[in-house]
Amino acid sequence: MTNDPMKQAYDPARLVAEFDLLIARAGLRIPAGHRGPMLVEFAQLRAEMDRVHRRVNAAPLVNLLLPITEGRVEG
Amino acid sequence: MSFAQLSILETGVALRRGDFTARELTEATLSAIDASNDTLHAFIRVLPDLALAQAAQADRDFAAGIDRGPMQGIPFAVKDLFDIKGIETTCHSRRGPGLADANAAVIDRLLASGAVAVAKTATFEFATYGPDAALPYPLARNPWNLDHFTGGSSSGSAVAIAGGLVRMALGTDTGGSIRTPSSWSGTVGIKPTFGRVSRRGCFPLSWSLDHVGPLARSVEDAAISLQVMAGHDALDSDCSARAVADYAALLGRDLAGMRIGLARRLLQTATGDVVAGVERAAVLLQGAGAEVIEVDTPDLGDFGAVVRALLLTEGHHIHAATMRAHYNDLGPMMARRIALGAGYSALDYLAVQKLRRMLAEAVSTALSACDVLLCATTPRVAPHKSADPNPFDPAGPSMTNPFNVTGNPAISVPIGLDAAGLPLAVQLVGRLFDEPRLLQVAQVVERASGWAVQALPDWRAQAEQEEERV
Repeated sequence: MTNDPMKQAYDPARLVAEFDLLIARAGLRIPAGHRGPMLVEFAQLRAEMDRVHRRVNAAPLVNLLLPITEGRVEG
Repeated sequence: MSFAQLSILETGVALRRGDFTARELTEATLSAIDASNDTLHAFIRVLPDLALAQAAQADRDFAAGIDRGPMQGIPFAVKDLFDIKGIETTCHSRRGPGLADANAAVIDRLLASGAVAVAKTATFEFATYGPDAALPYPLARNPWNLDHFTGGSSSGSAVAIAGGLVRMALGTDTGGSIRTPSSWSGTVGIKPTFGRVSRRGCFPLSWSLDHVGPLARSVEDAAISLQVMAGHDALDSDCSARAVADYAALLGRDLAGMRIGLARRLLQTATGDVVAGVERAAVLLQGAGAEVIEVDTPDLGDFGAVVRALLLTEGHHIHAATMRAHYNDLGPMMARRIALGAGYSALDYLAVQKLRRMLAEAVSTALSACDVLLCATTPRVAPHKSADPNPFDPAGPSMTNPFNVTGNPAISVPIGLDAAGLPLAVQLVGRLFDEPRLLQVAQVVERASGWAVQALPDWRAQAEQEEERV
């Protein structure tokens, strides 16, 4: 296995374990038929969020003195 | 001619002239609903007692010389996410919130204007994902072709208008749920500026993305109904205290001196027919005196990532207790996607909020170079009902998501039909709180495209052929 922690995070077995842990922690019992498609979407979700973190971290700072919890900026 | 062929203003003139009463109009509407619903399934619940009482009040007011404005006596439909006192709110689910003990704020506004609530419309379960056939009520069907999706989640509201049953219906829009069914069902749908219309009494999906607005038969009808719906509500903390503009003020004016920004980057995944529709709209707008320029925007994928994260985390929180106790009572399409909200961390949520602000500032910059953006509402026309939509599908990012992220007002307007006879639409986007100019531009597209005279095919004949095949 690679020593790169980011690549390790995408090891399929680790992704599956993370998914099962998060669903259990949310208190959900999902039917077996849902688990397969949800795992695929979970992997896509994590990849998408990694792209978001990279994008946001590389971007110039947003003005954090303004609330960032909505898109609307009233003039 | 059916009553629904008259615009809201034309109906108002006829009511005030005594050509017919609000009661007669309401009875005709209820009959039309009854005659259509076995096929189109636009409505979950019809409200004859309530509607006839409201119509009688409108008639008494007319007789007494009390004029509450252009919506007085006008029937409208209500997406079944909005509370009406004494009526069950189902959210198209086995696990809906149940009997409402008060009206939603927007229902109060419409009833105070004399409008008549005739029925509650079908939606995707809790306005989430769909279409999902495993729900307690049937899916609304597209009258342009019964074998194609309506789009959602305000599916029944769009079908109620497209089918000629009402002129206006309430919708909600978290990622495109007013504009997508409007595009695929050939209606007008406007998502106003975030905070322009109160959401109190409307079941939430995502507090930071939810918008309330009208779907309507025409831009003018949308402007008139939005005028009644808009305004401050101290009990909705996101509701703006800004004065409400006159939404009909600019209707009918030409576009001299106006700049339209063609946002090609938002057309990345559009089919040829959809791009041709947008280009046709650009030509029509130029013909009305506008200058069309090209403007840059961020990629669609960035907006989609923001909407998915906010919708799934906030939606997960809203439905957490129900999912823990009654997961199997929810439709699979909603349940498995909203459950996925557990996959985001708090740091993910905040990173997405920061990206949201960056995207909002980029769109604001684009709109500083023009008055209104022009793009598409959906990448393609209404898909065949055999398709299985996947919200993470990179081949089909939503074209409506961007303006739930930014909060800008956005409207879907029909531009014509494709070769198969399915509606094509364009999306126009305004500056924050600049709905009057947005509606002005939208009406130019509507009029110049000739959409108003576009005839709906005979969906009853298609249904009969379907029955014969069965």
